[in-house]
Amino acid sequence: MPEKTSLERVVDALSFRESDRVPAGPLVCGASRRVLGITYAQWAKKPELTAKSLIQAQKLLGFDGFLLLTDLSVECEAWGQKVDYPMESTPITMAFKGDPLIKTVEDYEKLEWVDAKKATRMKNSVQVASTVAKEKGKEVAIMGFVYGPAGVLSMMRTLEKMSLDLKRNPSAVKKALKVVNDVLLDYTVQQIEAGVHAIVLDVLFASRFIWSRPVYDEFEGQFCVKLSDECHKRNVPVILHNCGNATYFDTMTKWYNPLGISFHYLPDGISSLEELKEKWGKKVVLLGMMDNPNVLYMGDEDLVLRESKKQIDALAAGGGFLLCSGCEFPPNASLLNAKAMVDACKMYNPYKKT
Amino acid sequence: MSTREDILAGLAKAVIDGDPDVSKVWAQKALNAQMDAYEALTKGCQEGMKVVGDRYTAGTMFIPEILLSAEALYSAMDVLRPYIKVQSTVPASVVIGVIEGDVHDIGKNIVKMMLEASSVKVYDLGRDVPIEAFVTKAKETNANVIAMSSLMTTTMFKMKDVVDMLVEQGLRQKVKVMVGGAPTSQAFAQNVGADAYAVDATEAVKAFEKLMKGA
Repeated sequence: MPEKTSLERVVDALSFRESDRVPAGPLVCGASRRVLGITYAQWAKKPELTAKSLIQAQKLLGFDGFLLLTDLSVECEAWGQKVDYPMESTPITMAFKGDPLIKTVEDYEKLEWVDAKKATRMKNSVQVASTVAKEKGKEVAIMGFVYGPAGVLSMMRTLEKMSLDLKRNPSAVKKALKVVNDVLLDYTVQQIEAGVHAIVLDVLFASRFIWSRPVYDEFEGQFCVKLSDECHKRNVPVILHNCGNATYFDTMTKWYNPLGISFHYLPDGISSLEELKEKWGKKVVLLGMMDNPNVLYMGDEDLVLRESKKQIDALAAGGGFLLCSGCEFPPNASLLNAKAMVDACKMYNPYKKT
Repeated sequence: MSTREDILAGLAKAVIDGDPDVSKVWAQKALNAQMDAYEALTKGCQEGMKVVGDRYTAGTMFIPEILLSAEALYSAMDVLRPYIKVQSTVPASVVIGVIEGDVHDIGKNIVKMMLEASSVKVYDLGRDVPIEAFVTKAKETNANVIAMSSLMTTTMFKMKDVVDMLVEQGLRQKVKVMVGGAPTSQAFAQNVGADAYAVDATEAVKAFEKLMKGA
């Protein structure tokens, strides 16, 4: 029987079917620049190079899905938030360097709807989606990426200030969240129309170490649900990403009804991989949870193989599992470790019929 | 007239509730009652912050609430600080900052607050702090500890450069090193030659105290 394509393999996993093997998703994003031989700043700013890097990285490493994440400052740029582009590190909002767009509580009220089609970075991301979809869309799974409205707003204010504002000036924060979310809705639709197979919504603040469940409900869930609803309406799978610690799988599934969740750490209230599989393995597809810093960045291929096997053993039975890095593959880690994840999925195959 | 116990309990509660106006009032009441300002800080505010730290670890307090508690703490400290008599022993001190290339500082700020609530003298260098700035400040202030954080794998290994620089300058025996931040771990701390790793702010205070005791 011929080997399945990456796309078929991912579709099997997302349908809770055992495929020819576990799909591998090291979530190589910024790290792909090193395949093409360009700087991080070039990779983040030039969509034709971003797309080319991603496609070459997939060809080199053989992973089963693209995650079209550039960085978390893509969306906020639409409102004029300044962004810093280090030569060899992830672009970052200048709000974290003391230059936020929202300087005062009054500034929340000044945020207005902007046209995502005209915003440089979002427009570039859609172009990347379109190029990758055209070239690889029939063979490899392609996941678009949207940072949730609370995350985007924090990129223009800082999480620290915004967390205080939502206690003292909740209506101003909510007004801005609505504006941001409306633009994110357009951006989501544009990625879908560009040909991505699924949308990944990053809902980082649904974590016990950031916001409580009620605060999350009030300041992200009730807005961001419009994005997932739109995806459902268009029959586009929703995958959530949350690389925070002790995440709220219950809250996230309640709001967004996702097909899968991409995660780095065990969710709130879960203490082992086995318990995770038992409690959540039939409700959502699990995309995880290779340890980015300790295994993929500091570790070597042997460690990656061992950790991969451990996770495949615990989570792969019955499908509904993709071996993924817990967050974007560390941009400066050895690419051999990304390849080792793919190799592990080929070597340790619980679906192989003997 | 409030009793000493009322005042200490009032300070602790105001910090836990995150109410800077109320904490200021209780701090002033402490002074009016001629309480020792240092005692009001350590047995009132500090006790409140301990509860805050425990609740954060237990998942019953979250970042917004902690930030409000921080404001309440600093509000009381502003009132009390001018009246704190210089302690007979030199307070433990720490140089803290987010490593060069990284600007995510919310965790660092919470650690700073928890350390200050424990009467540790904190020299905060802010974010995106150059390697040599940590060493220079530690030298200048005779700090006991350098505490560094990072939220990005692209920057975390610069912490090793700080450790190396301390070695080069013959300061490694004198200055202990603590690391923290989402991508860091005990294994990472060992890898870069740090003396301690803390997963959160509460643990950071415990780790600092351990280092001071030489444990």
